[in-house]
Parts: sequence; structure tokens; C-alpha cells
Amino acid sequence: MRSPAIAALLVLLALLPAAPAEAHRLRVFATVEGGSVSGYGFFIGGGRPAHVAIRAAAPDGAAIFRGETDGGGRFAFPAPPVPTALTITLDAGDGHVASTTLAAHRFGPAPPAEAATASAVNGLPGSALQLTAGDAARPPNPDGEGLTVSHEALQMLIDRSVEAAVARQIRPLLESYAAAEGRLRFNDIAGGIGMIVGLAGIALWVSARNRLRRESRRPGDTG
Amino acid sequence: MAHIPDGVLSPPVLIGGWAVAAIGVGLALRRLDESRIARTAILSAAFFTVSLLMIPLGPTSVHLLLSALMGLSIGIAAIPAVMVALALQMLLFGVGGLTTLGINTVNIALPGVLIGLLAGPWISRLSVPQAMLAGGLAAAGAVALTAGGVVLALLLSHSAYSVSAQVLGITYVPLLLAEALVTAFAVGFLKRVKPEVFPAGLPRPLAAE
Repeated sequence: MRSPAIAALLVLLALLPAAPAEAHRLRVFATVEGGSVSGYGFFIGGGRPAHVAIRAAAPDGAAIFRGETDGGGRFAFPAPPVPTALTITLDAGDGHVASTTLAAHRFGPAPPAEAATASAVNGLPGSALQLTAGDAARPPNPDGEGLTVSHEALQMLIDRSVEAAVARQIRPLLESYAAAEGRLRFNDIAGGIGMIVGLAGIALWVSARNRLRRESRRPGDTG
Repeated sequence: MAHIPDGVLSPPVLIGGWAVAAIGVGLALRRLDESRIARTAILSAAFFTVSLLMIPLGPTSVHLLLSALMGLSIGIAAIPAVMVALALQMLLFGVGGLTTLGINTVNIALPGVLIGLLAGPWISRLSVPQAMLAGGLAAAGAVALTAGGVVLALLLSHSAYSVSAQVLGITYVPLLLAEALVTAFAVGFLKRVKPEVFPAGLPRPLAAE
């Protein structure tokens, strides 16, 4: 008599460990590190969109990069030479589309060409950093005469390594924030169910009111 | 996959989806009588919760829909039930989108409603094991129709859209099986405990009773 109920419960219980309480949604994580934009797509709760189309576009719609994610859903491409906001869109081809936008300031001042050696740390080709050193406005330096390295170059090297260190340090933070953003919270589920109960209450009230009206009208009609 | 986000589909598909969903909601609300409000709300809440719980599956992830169960037990009221749940999922979790709310509602609820109309009268007459089998088949059919609806919506939006058959096979076949299994047990349970859930024919105006 009770076996189907127990069986149904067992089926649900068997499914639940594989189904952590997380929203079904594709998301993109992307960050800027050492002159390169890297990141990955992920389904909240697990799964990576492997070999799906990825597109990075400037605010005016111009495509900066087109490609595919690798087997682990990851992607990487050189940062645009001129800092610009970048919208990275992942299209899994089955109606799952996600995008994220990196603001222009995330790309920082354009790194100088001589700092390209530093990028070897990140395993990037130096060609990714074919940038004009002069376009970054620097404060004038009154004490620069005695230096063998020009103050500007030194400043840029420092900027470059600070940027790289900060990017490396905050990456885990950004990643966990991206993951946490879509996590399913019990409060939200309870709130949603509460809303549905409330709507049912409104519907019951409306239908009860209509019935009362009909009933109060009916005796008048007949008598 | 049935929660298509904003910015994927073309305006005609979005408007068409909203139109069908609005007609469905209108029809359902006119026929929604007091005795069915609670059941509709319970199924809406069940769908709201269960379609958030996702199962990672290879390159994508799937979740149950329960659309056949809704169609079988509440008929056309499945459309507002699904729409309310989808709207809440959008507001609370950012799943899906406002422009696609219509087409997503249609893709999920309409197969359930159609299958319910088709299989409902049968299930009320069958014995429990037979009803479980029929319920499972109904659920599989509803999932297949939902998959078809999603693919159609994508194809109508982009004529060049290539929906990989492999991805569809990977994601929908296990979903089909899981959905069939859960629906079969749910139907079996309801048949034993509360057989009147499945009306013998088209739902009569219960308020007259």
C-alpha cells in the first residue's frame, strides 16, 4: 500500500545527492591578468560548457575575439590594446547563453612594451603586449635626472607588477563571488513558495467573494 | 535549457510566446474554480522548487519539469502555475528572462497540458500499474515536446542555428528517463491515495456540484 510512496521518496533521495541546491544556470567568469583575458563558463552546481562558442565584443558591438572554450570550459585571449569595456558572451547552443562584462578600468593603463618580459611569468606571448608605451599619461617627475632607468619606465614596471600581483591575489575572490552570486539560497526558495501561497490566498479570496456576490444576487433574481 | 534567457530569441518568437501564454493564462483563470486553486498552487510551488534543483550532466545540466504531472492533475491551470513559478525564479534567481517568460511558459506548460488532455481520461480508467506506465510515457512525451519547442524557438530565431543533436541527446534522454520515473511513481501514489485527482473526462465545472 505504502510501497509506491516509499519508492518515490527513494527515487527523489537518489537524485538529490547529485542535485545540490543550486540554480540551473550558465554563467561566465572572466578576469584580466597580465595583458590577457582569461576565464571559464560554468553551470552553477557543476558542469563546464566544453567546446562552445565564445565572443568578446566592445560596447560598440565590434568583435574583439571569437573562439571556442576548451574541454574544461576555459578560454583565454589577449586583452584589447586600448582599454575598453568588454562583454564576453558564451553560447552553449541549446538555449544556454551567458555573458559578463569587464569594465574598461579593469584593463588598467596600457602596459609598456618593455614590460612584456614580465608576462613570461604568465606564459603569455609577448606579442600580446604590443602596446604603445607613450599613451599612458604619467605625472611629470622632477627628481628623475639621477636615475639610470627613466622614472617613467620604472613607474610602469612597478604598475605592471602591482597589477599582476593584485590580479593574482583577487582572482580566487572574484571566482568565489561569481559562484556565490548564483547559488540557491533557502531563504529565496522559501520566499518564492510563500509568494505562491499568497497568490493562492488571493485567488481563493477573489473566488469566494465572487461566489458570495452570486449567491446574494440569486435570491433577488428568483424571488 | 527550458529557461531561455533574454537576448537569444528574435522578437516574433518572443511576442508569439507571450501571446500564446497570455491566452493560456486567460483561459485557465476563467476556468479555475475554488476547489482547484490549492492544488494548482501546490504544483506551482513544486515546479518552482524542483526545476531549480539541477543535476550536472556532462557538458550541461538538467532539472525536472513535472509538466506532465501538472497537465494530468490540473489541466490548463498548469499554464499560470508554470508562469508564476518562472516569474519568481526570474526575480529571485535571475534564471530565464522577462522577454522569454512567455515562450518559456509555453515550452514547459503546453506539452503538459496537451499530454494531460490526451492521457488524462485513460489514466482515470487504468489500474495502478497501468496508470504508472501511462504516466511515465506521458512524462516522456511532454519532455520530448518541450525539447522540440526549445529547438523550434531557437531555429525560428536564427535560421542558421545548429542545435547539436549530441548535446540534445546527452541532456534530454536522461531527463526524459528521470522525469518518466518520478511522474510514474507520483501518478501511482496519487491513484492509490487520491484517485479523484485524475478526472475521468474533461474537467467539469466543479463549482456546480
